[in-house]
Amino acid sequence: MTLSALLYLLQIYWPFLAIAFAIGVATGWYSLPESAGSEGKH
Amino acid sequence: MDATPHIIESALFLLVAFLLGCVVGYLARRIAASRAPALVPAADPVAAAEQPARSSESAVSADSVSPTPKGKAPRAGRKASVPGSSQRARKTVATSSGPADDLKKIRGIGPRLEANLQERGITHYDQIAKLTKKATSELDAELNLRGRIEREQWVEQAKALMKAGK
Repeated sequence: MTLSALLYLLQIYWPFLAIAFAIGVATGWYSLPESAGSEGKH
Repeated sequence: MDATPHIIESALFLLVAFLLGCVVGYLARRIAASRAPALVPAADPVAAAEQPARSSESAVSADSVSPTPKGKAPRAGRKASVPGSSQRARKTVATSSGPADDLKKIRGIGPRLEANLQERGITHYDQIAKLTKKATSELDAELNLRGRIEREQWVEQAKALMKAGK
């Protein structure tokens, strides 16, 4: 895979990458438990 | 250039973007959680300096909570400095001095709940350890915890943490 191909993909698919990034941010944000214990799990 | 040969690469890109997002989201949450409690103690010295004469009145609701331990100068600042917290919740606890304890060590208390407790002037284990049944139920209702304070035995945990800290 060449650099030009990478750039092409970025150019074409950046909205999808942005969506994937946003989903990842949300996943990461809510993956953190309130505490090591059980807060919010009742 | 035809896009079809790059399906795998595209999928990898998406995966990388997702994982990157996960890391960023996780770190952002960690930072947000660690900053939230730090905001409350920062307001304390100012408020305490404004009301030095009232320090002897800081232990409120004698029927709910026993007074602050000897040797610890109580502070009136925290509970008066938070505009959003209710009067009732503020009356349920006595204030305490010194650097705030890490309430997250109590099982069931996380960053958000710790911040809520700090808004109500609860920053030390001894304040939780001294909660009476009445104060516990009031605080439980204020924070909409549905009985978790008793169920998770915060008072007992706080006492144990106090003991361990000595």
